Amino acid sequence: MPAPHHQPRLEDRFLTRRDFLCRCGMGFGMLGLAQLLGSSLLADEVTNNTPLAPRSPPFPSQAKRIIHIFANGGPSHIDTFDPKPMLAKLHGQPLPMDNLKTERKTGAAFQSPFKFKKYGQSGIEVSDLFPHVAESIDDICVIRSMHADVPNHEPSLLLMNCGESRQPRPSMGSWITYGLGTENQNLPGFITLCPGGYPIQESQNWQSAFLPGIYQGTYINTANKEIEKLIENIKNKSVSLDEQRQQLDLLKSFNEQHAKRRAADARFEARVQSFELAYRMQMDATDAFDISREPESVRKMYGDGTQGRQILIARRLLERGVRFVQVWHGDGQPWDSHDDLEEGHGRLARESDQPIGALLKDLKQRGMLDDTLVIWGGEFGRTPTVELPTPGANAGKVNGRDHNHYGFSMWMAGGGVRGGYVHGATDEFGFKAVDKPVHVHDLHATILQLLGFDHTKLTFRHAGRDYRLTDVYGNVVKELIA
Amino acid sequence: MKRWAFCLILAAATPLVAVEPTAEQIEFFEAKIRPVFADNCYSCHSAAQKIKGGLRLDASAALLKGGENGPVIVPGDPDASVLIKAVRYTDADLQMPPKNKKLPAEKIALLEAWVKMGAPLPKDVDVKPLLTEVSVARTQHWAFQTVQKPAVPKVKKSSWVQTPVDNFILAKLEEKKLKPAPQADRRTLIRRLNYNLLGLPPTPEEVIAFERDKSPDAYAKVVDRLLASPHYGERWGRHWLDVARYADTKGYLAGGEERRYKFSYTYRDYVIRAFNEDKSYDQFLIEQIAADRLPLGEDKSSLAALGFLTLGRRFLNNPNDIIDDRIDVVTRGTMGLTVTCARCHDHKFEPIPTEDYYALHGIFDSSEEPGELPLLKPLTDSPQYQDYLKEVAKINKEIGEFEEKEIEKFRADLRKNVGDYLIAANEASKLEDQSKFDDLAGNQKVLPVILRRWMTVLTEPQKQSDPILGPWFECTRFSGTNFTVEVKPLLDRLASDSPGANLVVAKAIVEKKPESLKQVAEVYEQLFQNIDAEWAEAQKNAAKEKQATPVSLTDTNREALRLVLYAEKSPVNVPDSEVRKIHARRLGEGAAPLRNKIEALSWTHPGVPTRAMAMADRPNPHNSPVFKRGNPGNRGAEVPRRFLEVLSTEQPMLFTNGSGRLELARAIASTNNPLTARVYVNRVWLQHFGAGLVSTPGDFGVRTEAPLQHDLLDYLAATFMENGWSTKKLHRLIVLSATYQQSSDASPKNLAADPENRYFDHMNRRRLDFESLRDTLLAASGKLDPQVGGLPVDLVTEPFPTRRTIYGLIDRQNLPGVFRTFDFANPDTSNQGRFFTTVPQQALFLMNSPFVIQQAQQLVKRDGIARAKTQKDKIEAMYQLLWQRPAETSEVRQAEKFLALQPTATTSLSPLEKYAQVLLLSNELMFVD
Repeated sequence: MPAPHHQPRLEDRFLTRRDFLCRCGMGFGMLGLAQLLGSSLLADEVTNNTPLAPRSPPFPSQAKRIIHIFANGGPSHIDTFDPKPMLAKLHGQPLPMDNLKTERKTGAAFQSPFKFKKYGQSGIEVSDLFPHVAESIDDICVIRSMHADVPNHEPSLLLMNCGESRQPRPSMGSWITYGLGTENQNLPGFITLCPGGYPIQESQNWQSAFLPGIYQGTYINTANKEIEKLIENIKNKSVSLDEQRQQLDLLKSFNEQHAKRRAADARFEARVQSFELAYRMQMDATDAFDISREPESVRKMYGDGTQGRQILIARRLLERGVRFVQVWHGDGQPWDSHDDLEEGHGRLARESDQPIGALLKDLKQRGMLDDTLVIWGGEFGRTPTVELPTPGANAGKVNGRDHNHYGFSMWMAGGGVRGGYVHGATDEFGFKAVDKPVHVHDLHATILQLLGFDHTKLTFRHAGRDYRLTDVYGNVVKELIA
Repeated sequence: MKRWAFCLILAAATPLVAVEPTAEQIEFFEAKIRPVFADNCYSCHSAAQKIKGGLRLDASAALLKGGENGPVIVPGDPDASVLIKAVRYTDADLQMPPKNKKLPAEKIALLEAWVKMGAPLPKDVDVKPLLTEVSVARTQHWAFQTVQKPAVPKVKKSSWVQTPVDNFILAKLEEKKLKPAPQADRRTLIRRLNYNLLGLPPTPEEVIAFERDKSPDAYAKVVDRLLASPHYGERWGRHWLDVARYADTKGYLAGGEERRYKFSYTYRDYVIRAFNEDKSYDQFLIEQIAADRLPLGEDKSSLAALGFLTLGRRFLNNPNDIIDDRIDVVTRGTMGLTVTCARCHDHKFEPIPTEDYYALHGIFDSSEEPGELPLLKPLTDSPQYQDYLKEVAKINKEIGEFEEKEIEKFRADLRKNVGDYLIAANEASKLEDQSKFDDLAGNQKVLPVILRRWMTVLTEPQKQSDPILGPWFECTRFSGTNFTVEVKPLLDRLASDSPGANLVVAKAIVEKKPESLKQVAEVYEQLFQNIDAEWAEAQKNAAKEKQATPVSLTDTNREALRLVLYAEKSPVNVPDSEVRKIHARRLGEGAAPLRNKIEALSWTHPGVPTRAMAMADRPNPHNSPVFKRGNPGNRGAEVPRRFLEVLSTEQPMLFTNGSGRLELARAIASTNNPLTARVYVNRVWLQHFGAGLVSTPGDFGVRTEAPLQHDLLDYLAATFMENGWSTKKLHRLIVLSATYQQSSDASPKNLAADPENRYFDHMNRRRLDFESLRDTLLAASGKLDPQVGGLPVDLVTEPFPTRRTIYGLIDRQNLPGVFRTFDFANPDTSNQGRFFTTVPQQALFLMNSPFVIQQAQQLVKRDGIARAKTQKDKIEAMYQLLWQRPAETSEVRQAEKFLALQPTATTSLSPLEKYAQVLLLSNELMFVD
């Protein structure tokens, strides 16, 4: 097993408290300030001394920011991006193989109720659930050979988000924000959007675990429309911005006098600047979340449902330099169609297809698709066979699919991935990844590579070990990279 | 050592092997063999690059030792050597170098020749000893050597010395020709002491009294007073709770299970009390690991200590993950050893073989949480307790009613679906492959267990002409090609008063004129539904008329039908016990909210008796086998329960007293344990100075080099143990030192020579952590509740509680944002220190949160400020209160200017409140010099 060890550690590049003492003695205080302001000119010249200051990855990379659209619950690959004509032939009959063991019992072959069609120059087939997304298929790299470890939501969500299914480990967004900082100091670097509440496994999906708490995703319930409910403490209900400005001026003067009486300490200035940033954040964040500032044509393109609104918010965040935005379809596990798959998947796709399609086109029009990595997928896929009734566990309608971690589809677009390309394949029924299988660890390794990291070297020393997103696994899938 | 011996024995048994390599042989290795390794193998198998599979080829000892799977060379025998096998590419699964980079034949021949001559190697290619080897580390790694009390060094400027700590510090400074920083002023000292020992600011009166006290022991008196304060335990107990990864909840759990621990706080309060009472640290540890194995007598309060083990995350109740968490908190928390890395294989960086892990695994797997948690105090009857019992009984009754209703509903559904089962049973009777029975049931949308019951019951009537089901079976025997034709004779017969047939059934079938078997099933289904409804009606009417409950239907034909549903052996009259099994999930999840209501009484009802989150030994303790690669399904050899090999003298002592937890606890809390005292005094030093003597407080393993102040660390550890493991005596030794009393401003010379302050030539300036900050804001507003101990409170919901932050509810699953923002401890893993980040979210909290604004508003309402006559007096009072110093004239003027500029009527905050808030946000409040 390859193990990360004896490598220069990224956290060594952070300025520790003692470094502060040392540096300020040599007049680095002002550079620290420049860092806080996010001035990219100075970003490379000074060692990082705030946890969120933007940093360059060790290798050149095209992707600068990420949006991960999480179709939580497990969208069916067979009904979306992985057509299986064999199922139509066998519909209602047992597969000529034993059904693989999934969470619940499944029965006969179950053909997709959705029709597939070829799109774009690449001619990749996509079902009629995602016509808008399919219009951008030539920018999309479909991975049809994803696989994970177990057919249960909780461990699979943790695996997809944190690279480990049981133990508390930092999420991918935390690792990336730790590695790259963020471009806009007036907004959190890692934001997770989910309307209505938490997905299964809750905030563990965006946990920072043993990394500093600031790398944890900032959760925003996009069912809310008022800014105060979106970001904690973003508005003062007692004083106006002008009055607050006066307060902060007084604070500055207090702090100057305090600093004057002491030997230099860069932490003093860093804290002063954190108030200035917070002050500006109140305005910038309000602006970022206010989609009414978008032209009507754009709002129309995204649609006016919850998904349209939150994906448009996500684009505004990306545009403003937020490093990692994760967008969840909804609380719980909406894509978990154990029953009524046709109705359920139909509705969910209707809600999200147009906004995601709009996002891809919008990013491209703005020239942002080249350096924005878009990821779509769930925690696993679904069985090609019909789920059988389990008392207390499903409605027993025998018209849905069970979880399937043996094979499923995800897609990526932009950020240097190879568009119009299909990678790998499941078997003829869509049960198991058989050609060029891509494990979740491999996906993570590839994502980090797209961002300019060697996944074995982005590490953090904790409890006697150098931990990393891919643990001791993961191979970069070079074919996915343009 | 063992493996070396193994190699030597092999060598001796092979006559071709020269025991001492000759100079020519060494020359051969260096000229011919090492280049092959270096060019082809080092990239994956050397210390400088990677050590894949645990195999190093760049050091003699390591090379002979081999990798994770054992030795790779058998000196003298190439054919038996894994390394030779690998380079030969004969085994598809073992090919080195990998990926079709087979070595040229002549190089393979060289390697074979080298092994054949006995694999001669230079004495010590690698000068560094292999500290991952247990026997090497045991004798060579500094932290594994028994603590010896070093002599106190002599210093030139002995007048500076206050406690022996200063001798060690000053001796090193004098060596480096550096001077310590001057003593800090009194206001700084008392503020430092207060925050350090209590986590709270001193009151203005305390500051003034200290400044005025001219007695030589003025400082020591403050130290004594603070160490005697009940708030001391709240501050230092919290440091230990960081180590103990304390939280009040279990983490993510499925199925609606209550996530909150019922009595987590009894552990937190035990810790606070232990610090306040200066419980000896060895006893403190023993109680936390094995209080249940101690002779406790009447007072069971120390059972609460076991929360140290039990209050971790529950990992969806996976037992091995829970054990892993416990092994980690014990080994890393108390000894700074990262044992859990050995869960899947020998530790790659530490002398911890995987057997060590499973020796501990057996201990924890032989321990369990008792079904009924032990009481902390003897039960005393009280009206409140009686009321609590009543509440529990009431909810239990609701659970019973809920389950009864669910069970009855389940049966009612079965009675409604007779047709489906008849069809399914007919299909199932034709099934050849019985292993497909469940699938068939599923596809027919029926429950397999119920279908089996139907099939059993149907066997008899099928054989004869059953009055009720006879017609059904007759229909099932039709070929089905032309049902209407085939059914005709049956219909005629039933219509003509056929003897033996149930008249109700006959009538219904005749009327329906079924055209398919499915329609026949529908007839039966409808019939049974009607009968069931009729029966329910009859019962209801009887109840309404207050008559005796009927026992049967009057019409015999109808009664016969009823009996199909209600006879004792009816397939749908499933006994309760059976329904509970089949329907367990729904019953469990449905009753979860009610069961959670009982749990919640533990923190809402005043009459609940407090209990310990205890552990107990299982009746039959057992050893665990090694789980290969951490996989419980892949078991290796059993390992006896015992202590870690590297910390045992020769053969590790086996643990035989129950699970072995008490023996484990004693082995840790022992003066012979080289780590326990060192790790602890280092943690205490860290909290006093903001930096440890060892910079990795949770890792004293072989990758951690001996600290610069190694002697001081050992002196503190030895003295600590001599003083009966007294934490308060250790505090005195440290805080009474001149080192501790230094100013936090370093001279330019010291800064240049020692930029990281590794020599402790000045004090490190500290920033308030989350708890100190919030407690300070409450102290400022005068609202801080001084009560010690008790139930956790929700800190983030209005009305905001005014208890100290240590009493805040810690939900490890969804920790409120403000905890994260201010770098609170990670509640999932033993912490070795806090981060101190500076981010705008912290500022947003201070600027805008209703909590902070309320404190500013309360502050100006305090007596000393509200009653002050002039604005100047108010300003001065606030300076004393918040910054513990008088305001200067220029500062008062600045305040007056600010206040004068503020409009008074436009907002909800008064000018003085706005001013007060700014004082609360200041660096002067946030930093402790």
